[in-house]
Amino acid sequence: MKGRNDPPPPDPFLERTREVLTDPVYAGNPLLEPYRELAERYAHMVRTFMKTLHISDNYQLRLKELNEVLDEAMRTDFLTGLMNRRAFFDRIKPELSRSRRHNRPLCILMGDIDSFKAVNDRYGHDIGDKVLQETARTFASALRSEDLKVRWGGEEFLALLPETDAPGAAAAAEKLRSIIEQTVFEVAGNSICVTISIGIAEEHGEDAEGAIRAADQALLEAKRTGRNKVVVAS
Amino acid sequence: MNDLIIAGSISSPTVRLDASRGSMELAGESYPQNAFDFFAPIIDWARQFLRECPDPITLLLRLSYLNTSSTKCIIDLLDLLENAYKIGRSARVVWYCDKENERAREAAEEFREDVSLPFEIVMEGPGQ
Repeated sequence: MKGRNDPPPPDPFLERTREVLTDPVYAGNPLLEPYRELAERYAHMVRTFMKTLHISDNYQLRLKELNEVLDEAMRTDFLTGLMNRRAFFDRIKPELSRSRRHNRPLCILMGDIDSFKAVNDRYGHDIGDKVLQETARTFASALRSEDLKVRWGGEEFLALLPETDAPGAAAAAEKLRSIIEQTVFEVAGNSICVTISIGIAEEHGEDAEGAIRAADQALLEAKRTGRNKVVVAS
Repeated sequence: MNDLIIAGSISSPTVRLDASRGSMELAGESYPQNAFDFFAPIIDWARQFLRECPDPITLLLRLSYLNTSSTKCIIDLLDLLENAYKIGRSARVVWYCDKENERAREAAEEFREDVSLPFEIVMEGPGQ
């Protein structure tokens, strides 16, 4: 580690004291004995102090690193590796401000795996979880790197698409829907297919909650009118 | 000479000082409210052992976190053993660290610096 073998800082007072104590004129003087001992104790304390600082710095660095790991874990959905809601709400504000400032649209995309309960009921939760992970992977790779991808809840996913209007988002959603429809997940010897319904809402930097509600309504509409489809909020 | 056992807490290590084996074991994390108060009986025990028992002394440390005051106390304890070693006593240190934790090993190496007594750093897996 850097700095470990650094010599102690120069200490002119200690050097001067040692010079006096070793000067032949004074060296044999028994009166100087306490000063000699004091000087040695002082030098030892300085060494101990520096060593304590180095070691303590090291522990603090370790805590700092652990904090970063915790911070990352706090923002990540453990099962899928997508962002979680907390991370989403941290990021949504600056995205909304940017949208407002540049007068550019952004879209909220809300997707939900169709009849996911049937997958869990048929194959069990372990395999259901694997299907969720695979769907999340597909969801993340089908969207752009600048889109925020979130596991919103159970089998529900949300994406925030910056710089995107409703037709653009609908095209991205349709591509995503189609990829998921055509993908066969091979899980523990089972070939499993799922479909996804998607709702989309466009937002102009005003109201994140409103956009999420609108996307959710559009998603419900997609579910109600047959599933495996994309609906854009009007 | 008596043994000294101190039960561990969330902020202080478990301490087992065994006079018949000449072993001092500290295990856990150490950030007690007052580290100097906490370590005083431990350092006193080591002093008494070195004064009264001619047997070898071994310091076994399994400390995953030390605050600054505890760090100072451990350095003091090492100084005590080092001074005994320099006048011919048999004294040694074994520092166990989690092999997943590279910084723990770096810290152990820093404790070992300027110390001439046998000081072994053992990397071990969790739960050993």
